[in-house]
Amino acid sequence: MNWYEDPNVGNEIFVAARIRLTRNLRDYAFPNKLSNDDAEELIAKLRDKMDGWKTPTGETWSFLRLDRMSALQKNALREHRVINETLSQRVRPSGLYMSADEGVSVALMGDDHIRIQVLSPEVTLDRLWNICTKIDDAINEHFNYAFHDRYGYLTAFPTNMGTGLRVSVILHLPYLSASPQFHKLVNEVARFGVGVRNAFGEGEEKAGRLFEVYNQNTLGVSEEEIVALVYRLASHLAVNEKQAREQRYTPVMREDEAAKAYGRLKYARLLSVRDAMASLSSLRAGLGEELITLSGPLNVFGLMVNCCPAALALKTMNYNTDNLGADRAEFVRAMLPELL
Amino acid sequence: MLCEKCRAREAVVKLIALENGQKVEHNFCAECVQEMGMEAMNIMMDQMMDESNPIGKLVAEMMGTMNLNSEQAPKAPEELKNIICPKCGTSYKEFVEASRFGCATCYDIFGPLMNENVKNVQAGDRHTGKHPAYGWLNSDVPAQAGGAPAKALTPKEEIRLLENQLADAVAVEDFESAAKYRDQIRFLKNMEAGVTDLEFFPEGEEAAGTEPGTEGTAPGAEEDLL
Repeated sequence: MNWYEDPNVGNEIFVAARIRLTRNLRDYAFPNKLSNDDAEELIAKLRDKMDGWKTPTGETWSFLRLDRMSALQKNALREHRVINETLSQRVRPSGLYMSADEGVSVALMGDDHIRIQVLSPEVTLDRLWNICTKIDDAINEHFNYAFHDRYGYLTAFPTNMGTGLRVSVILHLPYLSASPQFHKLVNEVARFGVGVRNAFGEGEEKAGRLFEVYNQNTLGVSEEEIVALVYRLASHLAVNEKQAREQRYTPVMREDEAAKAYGRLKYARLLSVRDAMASLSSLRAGLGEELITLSGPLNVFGLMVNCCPAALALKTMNYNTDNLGADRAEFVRAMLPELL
Repeated sequence: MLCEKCRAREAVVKLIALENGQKVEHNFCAECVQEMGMEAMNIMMDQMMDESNPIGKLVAEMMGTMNLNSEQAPKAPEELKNIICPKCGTSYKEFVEASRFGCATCYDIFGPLMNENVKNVQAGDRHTGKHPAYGWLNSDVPAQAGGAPAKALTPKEEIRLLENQLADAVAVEDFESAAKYRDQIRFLKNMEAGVTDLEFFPEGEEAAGTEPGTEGTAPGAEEDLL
């Protein structure tokens, strides 16, 4: 079971957290300027030390060669948020350490040599930062990092230099994002160096109304400050979400919305990504507020992730993309408990 | 710190030079640097780029200052535009277009050109977080175990620091920054007071409304910034 599929995780406004740390080794050019031979050499050196390791949480991890995986598998990993766009398109030497639940990973030779990432449905940022920094220290025991007195950890993009740290919290903001003030609030939050963007990109997936709140600055702020800042502003947005739904809609209206969404998901025979995301979002809101009750636990975020095209194809082992709409409807229907 | 040339204005440009094997720090204000002229800057740049020059390993650090007056923002001298990173071959053009470094050495080569822009895209121009415990590049400072001590600020501390910054910004008539700090302070105070209404920032208020209070600005406050 992957980290986002745990059925006992609730459906509140806080959905998940992600912490990512980029590092480069001192004696090699960054991946974009690295020859394939040097990249192979570097991967071999890192593997020599890292293959037998366990994650700081005590899990084992396996190593995958990203450049030898199918596009479908890589896209699924991207939809699961394990790897980014760059890594999903890498055909040059690149690799990935990943725990069984995909929660802890270290990608090699993406934009930077090393990309440490922890994903969790529990928004306990201090704990996640701790895991990242432990992996970071363990690698540093064997390898010299590219580090600069002034610019800190050196990264391929100036937007990552300094701490190399990106802290994000995924929030479900169905009512706030529909309110006229949302745009303004996002701008205010940006003044603190915290960005808000669609958690699943700008495609049909954004109908899920999941937003990623993340630090924009990596230089001139410490890791602890970044963690505290992102959490504080995410909390602030969550409070505003609660206000937005209560100010603008009665409980009956919100219950109605969730129940109708359940109906669409339960009886649809074709579900596009947009349909699935929009209805799952409404369902999640109703469950999170406990306005409707199901006969069993349901992790709506996990369903959303698995409704993405590549993830769905892998999950249902059905690679005929002509029927994705029907497959998605069937998959969702099978996962839904009864409405009480 | 005062400019060591005119002894009147605040120093905003720091130059670290190696003289007789000793690291010597010079601090100048923007006006004096401009008086000394771009020629001097060019010489320093050239020395910095020339690795074979034993005493020429000169690090010029322009602390985001040359754009105090944006019309006078320095353009990179022509010869710098022909620079190519000796380690990875990234050219100036490539660096600017892709906004991307090719290797650690690129930071020494292109870093000085980027200085004035760093603060626009980042929270500061100096790393304040974790340091590697082992072997780090181009440093004679020993790493501290566990990284630099940095604690998260309480909202009250943060407000105090922002107020100091606001006073600094008003003092140098940087009203754009002042407005930003003012809004941040108001936002934080509202959060402290539990106000979560969306209408935090009524339109049309001027930065001039904030109290000056230039006195009592804590030295070194800049290092603790958000």
